Amino acid sequence: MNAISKVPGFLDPVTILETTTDCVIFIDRDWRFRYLNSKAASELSERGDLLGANLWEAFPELAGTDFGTAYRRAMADGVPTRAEAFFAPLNSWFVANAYPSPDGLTVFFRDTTHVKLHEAALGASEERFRMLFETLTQGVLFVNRDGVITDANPAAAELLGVSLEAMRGHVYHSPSWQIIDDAGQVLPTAEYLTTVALRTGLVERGRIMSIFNRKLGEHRWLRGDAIPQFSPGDPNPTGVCILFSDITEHRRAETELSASQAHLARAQRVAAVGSAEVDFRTDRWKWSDETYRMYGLDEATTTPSFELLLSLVHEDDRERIRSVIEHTRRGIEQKPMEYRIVRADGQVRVLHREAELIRDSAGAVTGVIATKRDVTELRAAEREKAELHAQLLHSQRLEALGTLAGGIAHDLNNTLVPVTLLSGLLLKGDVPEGRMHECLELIQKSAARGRDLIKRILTFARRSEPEQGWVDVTALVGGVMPLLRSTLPSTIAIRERLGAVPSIMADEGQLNQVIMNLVKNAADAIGDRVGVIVIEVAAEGNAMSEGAGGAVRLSVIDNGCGMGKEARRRAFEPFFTTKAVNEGTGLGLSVVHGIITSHGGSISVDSRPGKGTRLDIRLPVRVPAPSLNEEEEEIP
Amino acid sequence: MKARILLIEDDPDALLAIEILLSHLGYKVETARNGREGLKMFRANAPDLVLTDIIMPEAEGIETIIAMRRLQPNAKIVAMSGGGPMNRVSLLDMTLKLGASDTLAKPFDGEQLADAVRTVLKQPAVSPTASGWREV
Repeated sequence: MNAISKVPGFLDPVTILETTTDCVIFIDRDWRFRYLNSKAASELSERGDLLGANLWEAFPELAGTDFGTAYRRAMADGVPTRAEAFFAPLNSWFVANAYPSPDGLTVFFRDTTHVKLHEAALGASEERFRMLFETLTQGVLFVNRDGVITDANPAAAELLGVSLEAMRGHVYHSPSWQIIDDAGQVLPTAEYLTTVALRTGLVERGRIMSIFNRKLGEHRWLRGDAIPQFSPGDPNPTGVCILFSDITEHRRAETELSASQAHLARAQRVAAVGSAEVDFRTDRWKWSDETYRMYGLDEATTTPSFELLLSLVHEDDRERIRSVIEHTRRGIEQKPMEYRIVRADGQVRVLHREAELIRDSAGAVTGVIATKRDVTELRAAEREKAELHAQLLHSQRLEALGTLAGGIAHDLNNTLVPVTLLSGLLLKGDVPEGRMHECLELIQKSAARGRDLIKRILTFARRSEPEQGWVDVTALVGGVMPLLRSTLPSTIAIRERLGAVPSIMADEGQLNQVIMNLVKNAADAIGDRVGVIVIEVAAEGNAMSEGAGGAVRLSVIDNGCGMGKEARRRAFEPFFTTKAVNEGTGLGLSVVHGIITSHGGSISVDSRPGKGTRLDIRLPVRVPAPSLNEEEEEIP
Repeated sequence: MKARILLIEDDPDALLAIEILLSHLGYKVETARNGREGLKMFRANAPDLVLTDIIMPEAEGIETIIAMRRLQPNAKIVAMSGGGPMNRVSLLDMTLKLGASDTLAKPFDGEQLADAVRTVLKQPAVSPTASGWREV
């Protein structure tokens, strides 16, 4: 010390002691404080002025601590001692060096709490990093500049299908990886992610590659990043950290998704069905390829939207589409509809739309998915078919009228015989004795027959709208029974089974004709034999309660010759008849069929040769709608 | 003596009207509603003249005429028809060739009927030739 103090320029030792960051104290052999540097004085200021105080009295807690032990040993043995420990009274870590001298003990000590905390934090951080490293599902490799794998985590071992031991300390560029790039080409080692990162010193991200996993025995797709690592002052990377994850399943799903999207697009193209999806929450519209094609738009230059759709729709259909979309937005399911669009080239296409609402898990409507089918050609073909059908019907009717004229002529000519013969007699006043009344009656009856015949032709020819009114079928049949009896030969009995039925909306005249035709047919089927015809009227379903689905049944049953399968099948065909030429026009049942269908009713036939025939007519019972007048009357 | 006429007609109104007229003209009229019935009466009573409809149920009028002609080659038969899908004229023409003495197209008036009946009744009882038909 003396030698040093004599070196010129060397600082005075006391100055050094005052300026050092350590606390310095000197204790004499009686353990009394003889010197404290200012740092120590401030550090221990809580205990008051320590100069001259006894160490053990001032710090009784020291006894038995590492520090106390070290100081006693230094004083006793005359050797320097060192202690580092947590000193609870001051709630801090300290390190102390005690240097004995013949006069006492110089102690250098300092608070190392912050160092201890830092060390602890460092340890914890290292531990956290390890834990992360060990449990990360991403593979991590550290490779040094020599290409040796210095560390690898378990995920890396699993993803690569090798043990950690097989990697640590080994070079990374082994051909056994069989690395294949995104394009399916075998990757040379010079192109390996690690090689490139080490060479360029640049971060490389998102490299897709396939590596042969020996454990699984298959190639797995990986996505990897390489992060070069540097040491201060060294421009070249000292190593590289490789991070990678397995994207095989993701890639497979992606491939499947794109395949299924391609499939859907192809299916839509083949079926000429397009689709559209709207997310109401974001107002995002999505159209399929086929929808773009239908609209005649280019997907690349188009942003689908409600406004765009409206601009495409034919102006006459625009309001309808607007209303449909508005209702859909409010969560009201819409029926399938058809609308027209006008393409840029002026072409008009007819589209058939069907839609389904999309709901979230709570059931709230979040969007809609709609399909659209181009039905332009279909509708055109249907229209053409309908026109052809109408033309065919028209020509058939004309042809039918021609045939009808021939058939009717026979009946009409017969009908005219009494008129021409008897009117001649009456005109001449040459009336057979006592037969005047009979003659006039016969003329009148014939005239009525002629009128009826003409009516029948007109019913067929004109298919005029029925004159609807409320008709009680039971009353109608009851009224027509006497006439029926008079027209039937005495060999044929006619019976009635009439139940109470609700009134129906019908044309009374036409229903009369139906009954006459059916009874005439039944009589013809019985012919000269002795037979019976039964007319039945009954309510069916819930007709009496005037509910929906009820019907009034009118049945005509005979025990005549019956019909075979072919006759049954063709029974309602115009001009189909099993009767002899001129026996009938073959129109009777056809006219009946026409009348019943125009009333919304149905007709069925049950018959077998020799077993008679049963014809059932069912006329729907409709609840009468309140008329406008009645409603008005209720308003005061 | 009144000539006896067998009238075969399926239409009851036409039958009654013709019967009234023929009776009024002084003929004795028997009626049948179809060919089979008519043929039975023809066989039983041998009328002076047969006035028959051609198109009727059961036995067709034409078949009836052929059968009568076979039974009684000299029978005097007047055929009537109101026609139908087949032309009335050609139907009656065919009937003549098959053995009717004369034909009447419906509807006819009293004069035409009386003429036809009178003319045929006056004809000699020989096998008929095609003597033409009357068109109204």
